[in-house]
Amino acid sequence: MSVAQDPFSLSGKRVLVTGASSGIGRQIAITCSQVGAELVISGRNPERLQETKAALQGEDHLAITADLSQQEGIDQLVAVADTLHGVVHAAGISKLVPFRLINKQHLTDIFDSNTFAPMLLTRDLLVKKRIAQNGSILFISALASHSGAVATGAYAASKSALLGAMRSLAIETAKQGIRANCIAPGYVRTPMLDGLAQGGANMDELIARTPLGIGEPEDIAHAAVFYLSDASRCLSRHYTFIDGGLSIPLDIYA
Amino acid sequence: MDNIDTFIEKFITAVDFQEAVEITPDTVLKDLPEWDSLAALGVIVLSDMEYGKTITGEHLKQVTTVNDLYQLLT
Ligand SMILES: NC(=O)c1ccc[n+]([C@@H]2O[C@H](COP(=O)([O-])OP(=O)(O)OC[C@H]3O[C@@H](n4cnc5c(N)ncnc54)[C@H](OP(=O)(O)O)[C@@H]3O)[C@@H](O)[C@H]2O)c1
Repeated sequence: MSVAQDPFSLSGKRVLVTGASSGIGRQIAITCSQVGAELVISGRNPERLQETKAALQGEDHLAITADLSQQEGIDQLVAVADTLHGVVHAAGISKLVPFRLINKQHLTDIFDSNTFAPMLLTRDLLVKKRIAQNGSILFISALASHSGAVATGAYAASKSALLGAMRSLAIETAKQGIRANCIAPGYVRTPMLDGLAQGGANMDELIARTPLGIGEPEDIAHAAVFYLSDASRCLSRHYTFIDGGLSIPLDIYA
Repeated sequence: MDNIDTFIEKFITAVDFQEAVEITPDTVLKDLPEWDSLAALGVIVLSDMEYGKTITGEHLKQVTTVNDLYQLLT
């Protein structure tokens, strides 16, 4: 099968990936480049972002350092974005805080990066007509949005909010053929997960409860390619869990 | 900086004891009936939010008494 006929090919597509300086976003960018996409990658840490850029297959990729919790960061990215066929919002932060210790600062930090940044970036890209007809917008939520694990009050709320945003957005953009979907990973081996372990999460217990094992960034990247490619051209307003089977015993669609 | 009494008050809030217990600087953390992973997480978050210090579960394992914890955080 030639590349042009491969329904999962991203050749000829320009894809923006946020959070590309680490973990899931990094791998999504690399995998997208391997199936032919031209990338615009973004993150806060310039060194790690350049490392990702160096790992991309092919030329002509663009790396933009920006803090998306600030409007200036969003502006910078939108200014150079040009026409995009895909957008992946993989930037995000997490921190375990028991509910009784939540304060306004914590809520603001979590929502700024996890909810407001992807919503406002999408808004600006749409207003500036940066997203091509038949483009695909992909949000990275989290299983926590449904499972609400201990001490994830703010994080789970910020990720559930994305689900609502995606559903409404998908209806509005459908007339332009622009699709909006969401991947909700369970636990994936990334620096974020290491941070959770440092922050007091019991990893052995999590691993024991995940029948197919903890996910790797590639597992999320492969699903992202599906959502970005024409293979999923009939799919919008869709939400999928990729969690190694962790949620099997949970009635999460209730 | 908080004195030990203020620290103990914050510690009690962070751990969220269901059964009232008397906490003194010499109280041994592991002897507290409600000292579990969520309690430890509460202390990690308290350290970060109130004292601007990032500690891990490993740090907590090396701490014996409430006073040791006070020394570590303040
Ligand atoms: N790992 C998991 O188990 C898991 C599970 C469910 C959902 N997720 C979600 O998947 C996404 C990626 O997570 P990950 O595990 O890959 O985490 P990670 O390794 O910590 O990477 C997070 C990325 O987001 C970027 N970022 C965070 N806040 C930002 C901001 N305000 N502006 C711009 N960039 C920002 C970081 O940039 P810098 O590093 O340059 O600062 C980094 O590139 C997140 O949305 C996370 O919530 C992860």
